[in-house]
Amino acid sequence: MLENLFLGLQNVIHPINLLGVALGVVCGLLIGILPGIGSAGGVAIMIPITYWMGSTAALCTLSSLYCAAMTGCAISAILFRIPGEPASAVTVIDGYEMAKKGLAGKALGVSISGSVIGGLFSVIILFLVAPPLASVALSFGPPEYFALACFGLSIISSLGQGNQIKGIISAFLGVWFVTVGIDPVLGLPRFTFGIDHIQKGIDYVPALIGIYGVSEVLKNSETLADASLMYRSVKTELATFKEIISMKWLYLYSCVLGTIIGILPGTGGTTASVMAYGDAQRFSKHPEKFGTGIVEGVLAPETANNAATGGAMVPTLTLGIPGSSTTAVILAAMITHGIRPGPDLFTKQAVMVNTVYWAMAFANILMAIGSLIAIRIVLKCLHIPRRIINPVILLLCVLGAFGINNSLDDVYMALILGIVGYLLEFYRFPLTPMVLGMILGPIAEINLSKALMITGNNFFVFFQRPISGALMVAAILSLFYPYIRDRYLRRNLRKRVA
Amino acid sequence: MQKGEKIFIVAIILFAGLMYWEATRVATPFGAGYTMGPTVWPKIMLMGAIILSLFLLIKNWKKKAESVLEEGEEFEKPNRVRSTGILIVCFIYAFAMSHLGFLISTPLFVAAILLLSEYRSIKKLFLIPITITAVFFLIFVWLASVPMPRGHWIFRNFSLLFY
Repeated sequence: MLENLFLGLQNVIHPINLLGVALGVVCGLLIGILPGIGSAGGVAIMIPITYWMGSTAALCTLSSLYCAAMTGCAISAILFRIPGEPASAVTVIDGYEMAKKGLAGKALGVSISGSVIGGLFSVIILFLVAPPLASVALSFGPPEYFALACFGLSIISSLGQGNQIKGIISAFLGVWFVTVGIDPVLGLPRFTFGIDHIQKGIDYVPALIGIYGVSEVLKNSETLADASLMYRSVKTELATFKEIISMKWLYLYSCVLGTIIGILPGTGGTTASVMAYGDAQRFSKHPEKFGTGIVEGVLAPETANNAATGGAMVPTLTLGIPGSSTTAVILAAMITHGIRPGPDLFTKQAVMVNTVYWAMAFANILMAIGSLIAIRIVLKCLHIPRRIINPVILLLCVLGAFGINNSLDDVYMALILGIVGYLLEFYRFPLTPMVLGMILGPIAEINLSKALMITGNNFFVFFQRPISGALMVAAILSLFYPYIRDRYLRRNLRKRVA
Repeated sequence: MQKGEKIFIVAIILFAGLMYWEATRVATPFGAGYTMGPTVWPKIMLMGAIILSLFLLIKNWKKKAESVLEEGEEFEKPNRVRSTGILIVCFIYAFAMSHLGFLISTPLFVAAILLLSEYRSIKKLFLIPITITAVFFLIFVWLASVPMPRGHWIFRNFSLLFY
């Protein structure tokens, strides 16, 4: 094992492979910052470019791109309120609030530090225990996935920012929105009103662009207050060693959670970041401050979504089952280059596998430097007056929504949901529960359906299996925890007053 | 509770009710061992939204409206006409892109937004849209290979000169 590790290191420092890593990092950051293209799309675009490379260099490029895209997406989430990737959807909540408070530099620094730590942690896990972890992940069935989605959704009760009911209504509507289109189990159309364009359903990436990006531009255009004031003296402040130590448990938890979620086939960075944000709030000493712009709200999702990159590579390399949409494209690229992922890969091409591990580790370090440069360039652009920035952000929204499926229907959908987001925010309905509902709703629905079909409509199956049972109990407790806590605090206060 | 908020919540109830009614019209096949039809899940969500919206409406009907402004925040009268105008321009842009193509419609869109944002310098109204279009063309069409709409007729021929 150690011999292969050193051979992998020797391989990765070959100029062509290093160049591949650097190319992957630059393209990944650009793709991450720009909404709509996405890391999966980015990898797909890069495949033809890797034809002239050897298979190892190609894999180094694509895996580096994947890591860097997860970091780049936080930049647009924090500065523009447009998540470059769905994985940074929850980074928007506290990241943008921090930027509004003049703490954009801190938010960006924390996101980079979290991304690097999360990414490196997951690579170490890849090095150490990839094959056994992959087989554990395969034991997850529909009941476990449903319970996992419920656990993720249970955080909505804490996200109401003083109005839990509005938060839950927002979540219900979010889950409903993504049911529009063809039913995933029986293939029957729902809420399509006979319109063909709606049959494919509402993709949640244009929805996110509309809810966050378009609604923000509409709001800002009403006053034309200069945005550049917000970013005038921004200097990216990476987390210091002292700060990392003071939040070591949050870092560690987000790393572990992100890696585990990443390993589960079909989940990936988006679910990881949502779960990490929820848990960071659940276990925080000051949960009420989440959503107002605090460091933990940026750190947890950004650490987890980068930790998911290494995690998602575990089933991809060991079993040939992609852990996320991006690793599915990487898998296709591997096959194009004549590499057959699976258990054999670790015996027949162990050096190449170790080279990929090292490439991801190098990419995680390189992307920190790359991000600092990219942020400086983006911030220079933000000194342009709001009147010019507004059409630029709107163009990013429109072209980003178009770029997902190369369809103008997605653009219309983003604009319509922009109006919905604007109205909801105007009447103080929190947007985050709606976004959570859109991300976790489809996972919950399809797995609930599958679980009931498999078990012959046994509704207790979710409590009969150990992992799903534990997750369901945790979800129920988490759902009612804010009410129980508030009652307890109120009673304590009353006693003290008496 | 503001009047506008009441209307908005009523609109949510009506919309969710309409969608619930639509869900009841979807024919659900009852196969062996299958209880979750295609509409059970969305119905649960819609019913939840209706019940909670009604609860919110009844609970806060007579409650005094809260101030929308945060403490210390200065009031600047928002220009709703401008934001509505920008939104309409966005829809027109999405529609025009399929007919005029990306290269023609984008500078017109940017110029329209700048005009709505009270930009009056003719020189800048000409230069800024072309520069922004060129940058986006470079990133999305050349680098990311996104197949932007070419439009029809002579607009298509024009776009073929570039991509």
